[in-house]
Amino acid sequence: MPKDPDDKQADTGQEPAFADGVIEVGGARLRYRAAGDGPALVCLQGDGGATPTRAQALLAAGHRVIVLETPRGDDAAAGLSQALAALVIDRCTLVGASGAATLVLDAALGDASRIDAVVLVAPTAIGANGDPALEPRLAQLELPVLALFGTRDRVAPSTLARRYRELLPNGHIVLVYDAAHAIDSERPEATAEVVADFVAHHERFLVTRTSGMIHP
Amino acid sequence: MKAALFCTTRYAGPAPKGVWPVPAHTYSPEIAQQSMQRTLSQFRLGDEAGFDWVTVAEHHFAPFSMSPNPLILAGALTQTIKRAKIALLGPDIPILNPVRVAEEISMLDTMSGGRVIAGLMRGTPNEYVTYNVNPAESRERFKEAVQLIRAAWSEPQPFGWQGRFFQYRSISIWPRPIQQPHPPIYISAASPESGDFAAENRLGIGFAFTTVQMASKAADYYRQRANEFGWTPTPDNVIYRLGMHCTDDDEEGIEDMIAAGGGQPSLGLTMTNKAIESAVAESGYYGRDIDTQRARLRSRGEVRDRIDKGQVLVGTPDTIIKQARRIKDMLGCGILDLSIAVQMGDKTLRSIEKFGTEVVPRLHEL
Repeated sequence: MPKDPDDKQADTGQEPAFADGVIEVGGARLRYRAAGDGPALVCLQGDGGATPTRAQALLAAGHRVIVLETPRGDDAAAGLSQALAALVIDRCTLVGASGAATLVLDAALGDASRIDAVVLVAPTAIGANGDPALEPRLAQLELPVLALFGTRDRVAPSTLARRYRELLPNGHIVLVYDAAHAIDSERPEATAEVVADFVAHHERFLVTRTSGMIHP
Repeated sequence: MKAALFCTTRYAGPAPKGVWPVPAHTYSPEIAQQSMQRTLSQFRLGDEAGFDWVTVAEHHFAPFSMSPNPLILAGALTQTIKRAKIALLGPDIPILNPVRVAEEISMLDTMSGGRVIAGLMRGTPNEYVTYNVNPAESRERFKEAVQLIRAAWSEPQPFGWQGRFFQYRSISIWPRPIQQPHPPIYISAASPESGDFAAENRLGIGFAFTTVQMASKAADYYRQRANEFGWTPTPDNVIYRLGMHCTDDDEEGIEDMIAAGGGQPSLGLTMTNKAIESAVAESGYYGRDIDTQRARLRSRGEVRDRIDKGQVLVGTPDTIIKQARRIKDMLGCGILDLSIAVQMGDKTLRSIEKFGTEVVPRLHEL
């Protein structure tokens, strides 16, 4: 099939294809799509579905990326823990976008035995659209948390970022320039770079490992 | 209207002409030291005489303005200028580290007790050679740097920045600006792209090295775009830079200006090095209005023609008020940024004093 010159994804060649899967959690079937090898990222999307974003496709080049349909119900956090076990995941970084950030934080505050770190993408867990009960509990979350905010986002405005930084004992915020709410579709390379750095180094990601040398 | 005094730190000795970067083989440290002292004393006189602002600007590799970092000069001014605001017009942010710029301007705002005006500029085309920055990326670097600097001034918690041209993992600047949320920002808005950006982000604008006719057109565009973004700029949102020489007699003013070189054809910094200018033009630096933007940087005419074009205020206070009123009526600017011939000794000092004491109070009434 001829390549579409406008389709950048078709050109990279490096990114593994996502395979479909289904797991059963508490009698409910959850779809997922997974690709790649390496440290595991379990991603819950803002729309609750299992369609990978462009940034997640880029991350699959060096990680095991699992995009999981969001568990529903009264105890979705317990459902998520069971899902991690069912996916035979030893430990992972849990990623939650937009409204899914609430569930991700809830799960990390519960059984965190399989969770190394948390990444929030344009989270709406606190603030006008958030869960008021969650906010006071965030002080207990000791896991490293990276929260990304788009500088053009009106749903999760970057002025909300400071609240996460105030509340989370090991929280780090990064403003993604010129992105609105769909950060990882709008600035996929920028998103993938900082997420990969954080997954590899947690709070030590503050120190760059990129060489400044131009000519050896 | 308000008046700003712009004194370039011009090297007072002989130096090569018609070349950029300017070789330094005739450079004398003593003359350079005297030149800088002259600038500081002219600014001090301007402050005492009644100017509302004093202005510094960034230029590189040339004796006509030895202020590669105008913020260092401004640091000295915070301690010698007692009353006037200090206008940084400005650091050339696409070629600098924006976090450093945010920190330095915050320092200056603190050192001056909140008297800083933050002009954030792109520089002249040749200045992209200075720190080896690609001029094709100038406008995008500029827009990102403005947003980053604003965030650095206003974010109370440490934050990282994942940009296109700038990346930082953690920023939390000290000191913070005294003026809240931050000092007034002005950008150059000669091009339609800059007018769009200033209007969208509610920034002030400034014009330099242009004519009042061209500036009026650009200012009208900015005001129209601002209305579309839901706000109305005031005269204080518009700065206009032009030459100034104030005297007891109109003819004497014109003769002085000719003697100082103000009536001779002059290429200016940008057009001196044709290879650099044409390469920058090819990069797309000038944007969609390229012909107009290049034309305004080309040679200037004789003094009377420059008065018509609103490029100089020259003559007695009465004459200057008439010239200034015409510019205000055409352009709707609230601040005149007055570039003076710094090298005329007592004539320069008398001009500063006369303008400050006799013209500035009348400008305030315009």
